[in-house]
Amino acid sequence: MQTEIKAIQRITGDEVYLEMNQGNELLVAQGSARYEDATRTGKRFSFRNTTGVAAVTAIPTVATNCAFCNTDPDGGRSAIIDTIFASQVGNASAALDQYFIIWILGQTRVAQLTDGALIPRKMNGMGPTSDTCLTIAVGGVDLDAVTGVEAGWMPACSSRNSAVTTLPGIHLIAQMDGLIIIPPGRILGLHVVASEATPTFAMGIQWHERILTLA
Amino acid sequence: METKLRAKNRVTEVAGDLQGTEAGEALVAMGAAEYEDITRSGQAFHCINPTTTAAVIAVGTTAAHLSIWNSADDGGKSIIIDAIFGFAVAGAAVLYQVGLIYVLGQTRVASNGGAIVVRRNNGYGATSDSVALCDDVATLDAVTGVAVGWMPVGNSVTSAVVSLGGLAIFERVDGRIIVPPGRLLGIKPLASAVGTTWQVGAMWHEKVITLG
Repeated sequence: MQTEIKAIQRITGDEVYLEMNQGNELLVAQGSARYEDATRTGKRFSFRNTTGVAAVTAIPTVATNCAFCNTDPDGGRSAIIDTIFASQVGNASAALDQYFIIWILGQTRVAQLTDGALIPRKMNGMGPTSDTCLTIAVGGVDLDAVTGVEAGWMPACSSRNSAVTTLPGIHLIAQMDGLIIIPPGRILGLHVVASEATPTFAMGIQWHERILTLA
Repeated sequence: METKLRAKNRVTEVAGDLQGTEAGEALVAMGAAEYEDITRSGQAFHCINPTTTAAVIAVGTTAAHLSIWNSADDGGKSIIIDAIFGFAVAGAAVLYQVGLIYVLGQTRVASNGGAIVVRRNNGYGATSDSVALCDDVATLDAVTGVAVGWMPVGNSVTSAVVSLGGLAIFERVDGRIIVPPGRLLGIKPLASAVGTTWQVGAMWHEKVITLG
């Protein structure tokens, strides 16, 4: 049996045959922006550490710029990481520098860190309250020793160089697009590695949440 | 027979007709982040070579900072590379530029005996059933490790200062490289100057796929 596929034209409401290219591949068009529907749901959020924390010059173990704890019970919501970012908020360095973001994802359930009590902001602007599974631990908080092991830290973006000394203004953005998920009970730690420890960064993430069957 | 495609609206739960453009293109929307379901499945992993090692200044042949060997039998899981990355622990004594290069073996070779801990991207460790054996500061076999096989991955970066760390490269590969059963993947940094030391790693997912 052969079936010809039709769709309803969004503008006119008329029926239209779906078409293929020269290689018989179905042609599609983007009906909405990449994260539009996830944002629309009110389940996409952003957190940013309000405190500038000095970069590290070597891969740490438990030290962080900030950390994100999934407070849901097992079987609850997972936090799917869309973006990690770092904004340079201070720079007393008299030398040019280079910087990149690192992350570490805990592999086992651990105790939650002290909640920094910052309010996550909804990416669709429908705040000010939010119902999220993440809390942010700020101020350069230390991870537990099980989560924070040197072998677990990975870079998230290519490095950037400063063009001037003593002034801030560097921003690092890492598009993760779901490459990392924080499951219930785990912690994601973030930091900036730099060529010296003088610059300070405020780091954060954008994420969305849903209940996933994790294996 | 003509068929109009219908599906259930996620919000209203009412069935509706698939929408198209004026030109007959199906209108689509992303229901999840690009890697969300792959990561959810527990078959997505990452690792990094733990021993800080000097970048090379020539392409070379068998030397690699990290090798990943697919331990599956023929017909088993493939390793689909999502990202390759590395960072400098120390810089060179002069300003320098550096990029990452990789070599993908084309024939089945012996195990690299790798024992680097592989971590799950969804945090559901600490054990993993990955087929990837990852070896630190590896020497590839002479069939895999040939000069003509090393290719760049991602743009290079340049240092702003001498001697210090702080450089990194993170390149999304998005499946452009697949390590089939029995093959080796080697990764290392290629720099313009000696003295800079690096760790390199990868993110990947695994599944059984029919390879041509």
